[in-house]
Amino acid sequence: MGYVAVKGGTVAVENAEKLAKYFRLKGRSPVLKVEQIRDQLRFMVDRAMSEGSIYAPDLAAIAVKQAEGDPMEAAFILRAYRSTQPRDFYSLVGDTRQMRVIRRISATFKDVPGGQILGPTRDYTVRLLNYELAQETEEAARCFVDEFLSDILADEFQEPPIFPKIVDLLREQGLLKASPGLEMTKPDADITRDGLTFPATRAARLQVLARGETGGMVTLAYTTMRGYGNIHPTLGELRVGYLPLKIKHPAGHGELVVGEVLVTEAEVVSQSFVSEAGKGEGKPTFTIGYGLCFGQNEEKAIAMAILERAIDTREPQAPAQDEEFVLSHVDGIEAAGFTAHWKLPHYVTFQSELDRIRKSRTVKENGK
Amino acid sequence: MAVETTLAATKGNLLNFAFVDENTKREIRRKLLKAVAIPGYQVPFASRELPIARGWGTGGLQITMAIIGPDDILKVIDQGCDGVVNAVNLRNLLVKTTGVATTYRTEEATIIQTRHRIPEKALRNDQILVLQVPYPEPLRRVEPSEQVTRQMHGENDYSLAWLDLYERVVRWGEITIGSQYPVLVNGRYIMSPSPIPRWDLPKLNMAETLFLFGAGREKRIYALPPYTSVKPLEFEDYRFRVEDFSGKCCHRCGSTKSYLDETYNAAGGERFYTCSDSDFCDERLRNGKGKGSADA
Amino acid sequence: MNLAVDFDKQLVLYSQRTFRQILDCMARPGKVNWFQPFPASGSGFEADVSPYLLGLGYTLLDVEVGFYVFQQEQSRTGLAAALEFQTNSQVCSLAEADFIFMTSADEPESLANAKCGNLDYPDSGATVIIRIDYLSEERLPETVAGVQLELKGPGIFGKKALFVTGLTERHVRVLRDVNVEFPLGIDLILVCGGRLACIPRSVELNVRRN
Repeated sequence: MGYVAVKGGTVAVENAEKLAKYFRLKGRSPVLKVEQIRDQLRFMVDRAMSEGSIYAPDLAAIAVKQAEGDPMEAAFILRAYRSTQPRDFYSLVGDTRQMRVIRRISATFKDVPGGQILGPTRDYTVRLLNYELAQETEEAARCFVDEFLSDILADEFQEPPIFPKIVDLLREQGLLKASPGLEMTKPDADITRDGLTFPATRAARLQVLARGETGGMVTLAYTTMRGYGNIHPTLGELRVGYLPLKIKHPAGHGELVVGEVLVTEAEVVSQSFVSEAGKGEGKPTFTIGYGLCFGQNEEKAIAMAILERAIDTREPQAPAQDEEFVLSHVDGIEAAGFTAHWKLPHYVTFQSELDRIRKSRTVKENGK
Repeated sequence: MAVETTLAATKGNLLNFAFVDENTKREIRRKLLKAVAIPGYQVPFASRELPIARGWGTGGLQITMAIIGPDDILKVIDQGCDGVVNAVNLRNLLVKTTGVATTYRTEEATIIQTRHRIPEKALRNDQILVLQVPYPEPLRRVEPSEQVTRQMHGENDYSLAWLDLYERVVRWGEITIGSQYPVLVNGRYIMSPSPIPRWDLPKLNMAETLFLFGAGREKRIYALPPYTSVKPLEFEDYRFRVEDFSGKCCHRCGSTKSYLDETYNAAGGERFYTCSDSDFCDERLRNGKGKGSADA
Repeated sequence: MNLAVDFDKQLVLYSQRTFRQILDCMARPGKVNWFQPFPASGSGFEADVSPYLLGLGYTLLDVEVGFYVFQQEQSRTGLAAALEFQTNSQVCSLAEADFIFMTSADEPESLANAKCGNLDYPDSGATVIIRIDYLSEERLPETVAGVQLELKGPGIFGKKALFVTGLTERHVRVLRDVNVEFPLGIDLILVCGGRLACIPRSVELNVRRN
């Protein structure tokens, strides 16, 4: 054993990387094209973008390929990429009423203005393993798409309906607090620049949750549904669609649309008692928990909305109501990185622990 | 849209000197100055994600990236050794983005980035030691909430920290803290020295070197200027003690005065000890000392 | 993996070298280091602005912080405009400023209104960059009138003498008052031409009478 390991370490690292590449390719199956991942594994791509905190479907598809499908690793790659990009502009506040909706449902009312639009979802399919997917041919795929499109008769095209927000309906009836206006040009916090401090502002909470890891957030939200906390939510509205992104025109006048991003938005409505200043009793109202994330990721958006609502309390009764507990632990890059770091050598600190344990035993045996 | 179009628009992946952009460096530089002005106090910073995982040295790395220049000579160690795989990885990233010269010899380095050890050889005033920190908050052992621990530091209320030490003595007859032993800095802030062994703590007190501490995942930076008082917490009757290596020596260079790693022979299974600090061990061998040498 | 690096050598390396000098001074209060003037001064409004102040500003300021310039700072508006242009930082009030630029001719008493941080976050206290007329670790020459400062504290072995013109007992009194509740306080960078020294809030500052 020796410091010949100095050279050995470099070689070991290089070989490990080569071996990982070999494991990806040794099956000699046709090499995956990035477009195939982008188009046919879109939930993986969406999740990588959402947790990587950067909207870039093609780059996310590369990251998914590079990570061999590991969603936390793909998000990590994108976060690191995001660090290299300059921040040139802040967008104007996005109004999801302007969303080009592809899916929109509400659980609060049987039917709602604009209608319940199921959109592309497998929620109502029966989850039987589909063996046909093993035989899918290029030709069959092409035929399906062509037929699907031709079935939509051109003269049946309609203007997409306007989808008013369910929460606006509730506001009109005085059941919800009025929303702040859309004049805000810059959020009061930017956790990617200032770091997170507690107590956190609403903007900071939402930023942390928006880039949080799906599994962790679903788990924490689940605890609140099962009695660890007192949130009884109803899904006011879930929207999936393309949100136009606008900035102030750099030359000074007006707005510029720079593109659109696919987002999932969830608004969860629950009861609360809002006491008026100075008076003891409260007026029951609804409050909203808000969830928004890149791509189509409905469980995350719903979990986000529930958690946002859950942590908005000064007296947490349960872990998922504790703002610091939730916000400190939902970042997947941090959680996975630290969980993985236990694989690093820790023999120096372990040696120190050994010393203490051996010493304490001696002390106990000798009665000091 | 074709993937090629997107890639052309992103102009590939050209990086700045030392990877992070200039404004990231500016923020870290400002925070470093404040950290130095308030020894032992943890300054929050934004902490960029890097291509190295959180928990694997991104804090130390960001500090190094913010201070390093083309004239520096860099040494990177983990557990005291330049060859441990993660040190190799970090060093590669820094070299590839700066072109800086590197060394395994402590005395040649101007910047040393380290995980879990301070080199045995006393560092000079023209050297900077950057330590990687997993847990910047020394009070986290006794209080999980950041809001509360920040208040404790602010109000100089360290009663819980002392109570923790006391309870350990009562239960075990010893202060049973191995590494990451809490220290009192400049008579004011209790600080975590990072997971260095107790062996290394005396090197921090009234040193000639500037020590910079980076916790990337927890997003904190702190510092020890030279000639600053750093005292491990202890009781009059239960004193701070370094690790005990009596009766043991490095099987390679014979040293009895360095922190030793306990290892088991991969083939035969028998136990032996080696210097944790690889350069210290190599230097002894270069200078003709070795096992059996009179001067151990 | 191939990593391709591309950057503005002049400005990136200037900031790095200048910062190392500042860091060394803040870690060793009273030590005087040399640094280079800002290499990219334009003409026009920047012509009267000290390239050394501009260099310090360029190294430390950006869009995330605000700064204030005292009245007597030569070409006051010039410095403010130059800093805003070069760094994207913005002028703000003294009470909000993260960085404060002043000269020895300015009245120091208003520093009582500078940001000192709070107990939870003492690091938000301001950094004051003060331009003085003479700065040296060595005794003042006979022809130069000035003052000997004595510094004690972290970063200093024993005591450190610093010889200055432009800082008086009045300044020292103000600084002591502002920094009386350590860890709250402000941190000082002294500049004279291309020389700089730092007095962090952790330092005990006195005027030495001979």
